[in-house]
Amino acid sequence: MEEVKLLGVWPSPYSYRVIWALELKGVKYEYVKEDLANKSDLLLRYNPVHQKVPVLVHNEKPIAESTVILEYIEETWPHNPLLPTDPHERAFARFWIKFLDDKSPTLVGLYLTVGEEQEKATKEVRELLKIIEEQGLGEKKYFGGDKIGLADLVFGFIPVWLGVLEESAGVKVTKPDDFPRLQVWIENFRENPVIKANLPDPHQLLAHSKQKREVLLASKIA
Amino acid sequence: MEKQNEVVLFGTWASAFCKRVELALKIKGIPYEYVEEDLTNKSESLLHYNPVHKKVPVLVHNGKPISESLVILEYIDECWNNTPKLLPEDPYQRAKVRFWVNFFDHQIMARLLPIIMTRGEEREKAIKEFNELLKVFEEGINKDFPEEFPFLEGKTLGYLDIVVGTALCNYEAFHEVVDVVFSPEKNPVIMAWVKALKNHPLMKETLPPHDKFVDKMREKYLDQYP
Repeated sequence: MEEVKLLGVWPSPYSYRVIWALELKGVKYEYVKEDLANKSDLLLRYNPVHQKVPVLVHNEKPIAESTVILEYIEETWPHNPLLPTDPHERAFARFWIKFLDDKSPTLVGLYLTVGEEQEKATKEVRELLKIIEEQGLGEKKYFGGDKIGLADLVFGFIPVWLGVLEESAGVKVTKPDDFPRLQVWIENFRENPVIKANLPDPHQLLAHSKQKREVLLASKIA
Repeated sequence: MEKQNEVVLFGTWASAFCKRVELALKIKGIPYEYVEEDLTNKSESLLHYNPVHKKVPVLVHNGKPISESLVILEYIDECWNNTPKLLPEDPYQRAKVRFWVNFFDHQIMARLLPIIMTRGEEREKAIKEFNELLKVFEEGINKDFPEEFPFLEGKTLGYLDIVVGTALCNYEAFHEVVDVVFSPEKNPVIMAWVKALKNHPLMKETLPPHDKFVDKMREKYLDQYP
């Protein structure tokens, strides 16, 4: 009897990566909503080291860290593969997954800053998007090739969260004709039936983002 | 003549990240050509093979490049599917190994620069934080791999051994140039692991020579943070 639990928080892109992977593979799971201001005993037991989400619990075995969880899901439920079979292509996907995670401070930077700092952050994000489009996506339909894969789930940050960050920070990083290939990828990503059926409510996300930004900026000034 | 399995590694001799890859290649018995890069004057090849980061290590296998040390290690294990395997076979064991390697890189390795950059009370605080994280690491490894820990003499080196060994086996150089950050009293388990790793023939062969490494560290760190 397979028992799969996912501990997550609804605004988090890291939780969603795992949700999307499980849903794309048709793995049945129980979603446990965590409140990070009031962590459950379950979370503290399953992820004592970081006390963070997401945590996947498979037959009482906990796995933490979203990228570690994604690889575990891929290996444990190999049907509907989310990584290519060719080792070089797999390495390429993993390289880009690491790239986005390493650059997340830059992406979040434009949301956490104001004035001149924000202008600088906006420029940096534009440069990142250029690299992502030219080197990561290239001429491919998806980051992993012909089919949606783990790298796309990680880059899902861009279609779902980047716009929200921009709007709550009152900044626009891209003009309509910028990054045309990335735009096509964004549309393909959003139109995927599984992704479409598993997206956070954009209004709630925006409200949450705006509120969080106010709190973070206030604590910076204080 | 067709190039069968042409492997080239671009690296720098003092970089732990590059040593990870060299060690993995040696463990698997993979013949390779090594190219020493001068990072102040990067080669056209490096810029071509790693245009995104322009960093080492880069492994080029039959003309195709792979960058990022951990990505390269997983690639080597997948491509050369022979024994010894660097990662365990079981998905849950693999997840545990990846988790702790992730922790080591992001939490422990990340605390070395704050130690190097600070002095006095700030440095003491940085060393204390480093030690606390090392404790979490020790306890976690002990809990997650009770049969393999501490490192057994004669055991083949795996993913975790490679990452920990290439980072910590040169601790004497760090202690000489920067500060004493761990000891047999404070971190008995890690020290036992590191000592055993230092004695492994492949590790001995791969690690940079102590004196040369000390000079390099002085040049790199003390000159930058006097």
